[in-house]
Amino acid sequence: MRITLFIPCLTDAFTPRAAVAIVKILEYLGHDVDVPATQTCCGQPMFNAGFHVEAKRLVTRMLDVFDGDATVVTPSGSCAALIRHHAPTLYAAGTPERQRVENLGGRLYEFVEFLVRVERMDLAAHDVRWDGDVTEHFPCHGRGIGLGDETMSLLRGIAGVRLHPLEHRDQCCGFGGTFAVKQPAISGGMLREKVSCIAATGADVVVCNDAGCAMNIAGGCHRAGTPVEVRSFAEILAEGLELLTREEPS
Amino acid sequence: MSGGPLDPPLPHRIASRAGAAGRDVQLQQFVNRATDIRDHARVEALDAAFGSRTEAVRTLAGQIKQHTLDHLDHYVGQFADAATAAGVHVHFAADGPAANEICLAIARRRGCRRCVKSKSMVTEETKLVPALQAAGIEAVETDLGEFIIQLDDDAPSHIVAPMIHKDRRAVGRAFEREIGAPYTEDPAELTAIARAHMRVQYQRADLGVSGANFLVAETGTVVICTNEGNADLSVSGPPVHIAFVGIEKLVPRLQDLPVFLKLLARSATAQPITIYTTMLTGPRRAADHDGPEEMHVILVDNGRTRLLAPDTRELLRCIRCGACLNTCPVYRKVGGGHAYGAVYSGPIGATITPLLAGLENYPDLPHASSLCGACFDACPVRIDLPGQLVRRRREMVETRVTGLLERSLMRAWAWSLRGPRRYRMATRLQRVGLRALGRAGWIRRAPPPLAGWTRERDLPVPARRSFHDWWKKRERGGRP
Amino acid sequence: MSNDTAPSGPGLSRDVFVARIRAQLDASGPPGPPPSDSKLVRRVEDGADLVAEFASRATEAGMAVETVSPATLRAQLASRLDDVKRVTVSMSPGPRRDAVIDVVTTLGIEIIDWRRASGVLAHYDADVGITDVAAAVAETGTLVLSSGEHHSRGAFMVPPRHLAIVPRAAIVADLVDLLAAEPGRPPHERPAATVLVSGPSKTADIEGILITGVHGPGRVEVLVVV
Repeated sequence: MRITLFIPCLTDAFTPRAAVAIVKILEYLGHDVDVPATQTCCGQPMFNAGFHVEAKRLVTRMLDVFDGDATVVTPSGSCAALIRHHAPTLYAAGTPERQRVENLGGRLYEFVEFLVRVERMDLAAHDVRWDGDVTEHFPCHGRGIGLGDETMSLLRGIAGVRLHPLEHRDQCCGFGGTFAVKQPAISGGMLREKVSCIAATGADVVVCNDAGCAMNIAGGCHRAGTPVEVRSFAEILAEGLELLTREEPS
Repeated sequence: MSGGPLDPPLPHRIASRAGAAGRDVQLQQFVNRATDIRDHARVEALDAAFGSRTEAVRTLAGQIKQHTLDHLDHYVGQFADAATAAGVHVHFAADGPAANEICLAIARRRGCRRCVKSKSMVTEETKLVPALQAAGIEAVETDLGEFIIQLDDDAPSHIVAPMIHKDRRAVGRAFEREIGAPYTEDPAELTAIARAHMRVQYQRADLGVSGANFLVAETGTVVICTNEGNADLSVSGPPVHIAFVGIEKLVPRLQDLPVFLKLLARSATAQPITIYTTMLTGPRRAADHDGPEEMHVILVDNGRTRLLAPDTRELLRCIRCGACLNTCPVYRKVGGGHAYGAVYSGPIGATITPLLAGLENYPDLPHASSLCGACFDACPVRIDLPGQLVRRRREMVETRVTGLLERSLMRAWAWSLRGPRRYRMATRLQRVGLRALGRAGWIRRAPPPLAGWTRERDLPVPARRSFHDWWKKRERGGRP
Repeated sequence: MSNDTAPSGPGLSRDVFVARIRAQLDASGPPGPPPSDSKLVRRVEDGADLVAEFASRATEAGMAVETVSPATLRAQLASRLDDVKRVTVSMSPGPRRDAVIDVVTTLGIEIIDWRRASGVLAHYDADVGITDVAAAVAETGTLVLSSGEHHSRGAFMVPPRHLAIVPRAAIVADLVDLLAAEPGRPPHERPAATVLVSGPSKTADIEGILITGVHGPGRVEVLVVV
């Protein structure tokens, strides 16, 4: 299958390894991966902050960059949710742009969602092993695209993974884009609770698939002196398939 | 009356109170635990009752409410006709003061001196109790939580559990100080003290005031849901019953009630149905031996017709179950409802308060959310609360309540994303700048606009090479 | 006080009030029927064992439920009223009410005549309020009590104990059945008050700890007559 990747700004700059892992896994699965050089941002930060004129310009750019009928895969559930659910509201019903954005929303998948719903990947059919103690945080925007326990189930399918359930796994870590900067006291309170739940699991690695939440949780763990590494599921899987060299948790 | 937690100086900033609650760790932990228990119980109760049908049941409830609101002119009229036929006096109040004045006029005419009142959010909006007291009418809140709040001259902090921010010691102290009861911390003894005290009030009262959870248009019926039974005792003894009801409480027919009764109790307190569901269709009949001689319903607008605009109409579906408060990590972290500085708190309060009282007066509330969506998932009538919060943010930008600095920063950021060259340049600048600030991969203190970030957590520096740079190099080198 | 003419005092007239609402709406004229799906909302089917369902739900809700036959009703009543001094009785006239009065009188218990008292005050002196029901709901273990010539609003709310007698025929399966569309009964011909009671009076206002008997009765006992 021809797959176009959309790698949003935070992943591009802060967690590029997660995107590299996705490229390698998709190629391992036999797909033809393309990354349009003109892509920038879907406009989610502007949309969520109420700057809808600006957001609409960026979404309209996306429509040109990802024109056509190729399946689009992205590491970010929140960007997927934006395109699928919120971006259409920026255009009047019946306009060509509205149709194009709905079309894009219909063929754009968050990576784990792609593995489960499109690829229907059966880990048992692959030689995958990753030894370690892992817990998982559920990024809120998984809700927006109808995800639930998929990452946990996939992790359970990897030999060697010792999965420790995270209390309040689906409670927000306090990221929320500009929220983390505008309301630091509230956001920080939410983050401290998340970090203490993570610490209580005894895991060495917390899996988190959204770059924003991952930065927030990593920053919270680092500030608290909690020695837990944050990884995306794609990185764990790529390491387990020996497509990436494993980074030992420090 | 002003200056209470629900009547703060404006513009109200949530951050100051959030900070205070954060320091008051005990309060925050207390609210956190109480809401967490309720939230989990709700999920289990709905799952046990409806399983995989839960979504469809919530959707139906939302649709019935939406239908009612879409034709609210019709249903208000139908209710007024039916209630009048049942012997109810129906009144129409544009705002809080008018509603209170209607109530006071009735009380004056009947010579009422002592009022027993059951829980009602509308009377919190209209500030009825101070208005009654100012008119020389003794007014007692009969809901246990509201009663304790009243003794402490405090304000409710949760739609369903008004004293969720207080512990048993506070109750013991209030009873000792205000009604002369021996101090105890035992909840059963405290409840018994309240029971004995309240029974005297019920027997002496000559005016009963209630809210309502639903109004049935078809039959003119007022439906009140309680667990304590205080509404029944408050309105069946005194000769006059006055119900304050927001116009959004209407449902078309009796047969539309079951879905709401089933959802309300489960969403609020994880019960299959509230202990008492009281359906009142008029004052006592000629043959009856008890019940009020007069029954009044005051239909209250108080800003609701403004919310009836198409973009915000869904907000009026709210059945005040409190599920969005219980599930909201922000509500938990700020130590409950007082931080919101208004009658309605949590996600529903954060979105309706700025509409009712002005965005410029509550500029923090639309931003006091990570848009995590837990409230949308919890809402039994499927109000898109995160979507509504984003709309409030948009309105703030459009009306320039959002400041010039923030508007400039966001627009500059958006500009930098409008072409690949700009984007690469900005990413590179950001990488160089942040890597210069960092030590061993982390930034402990960043300048504005990132200062808020590093106040609470470290900021990782950007990776040495961005993904797009990696990809470009790989493409140039040719794939293996 | 009519509500469709000029306002009396501070209120708006009905016409003005409704016009403010209408100004925000697109549709005008009478609406079609609201969305409805009683199958979706229903939790208990009509064919279920309603007595068993009612008993287990009512027990879960904190009521003490006993199934009795018409023959054992008197004995059951007598055993429950052992230590009682005063009761109020709120029941339709008929053999079941006669039986209750007979048992109570035989035990030497005083019956307070609430019809002669003012409002619900009479019930404050009673140890037990004895009632029949207008209906009961299996789904939620609910007792349905309506006001009327023979039925007080106080009997099931004021005394510390409520004893209800529920004939099997009174039990409906689901709230959907209780509130189902009925042939139009004008509002003034409905009972002024219909109360659905689904357990003893409860509060969890103090630290979320469940306490019964806060305002209404702390004990609700149900005799299902089969």
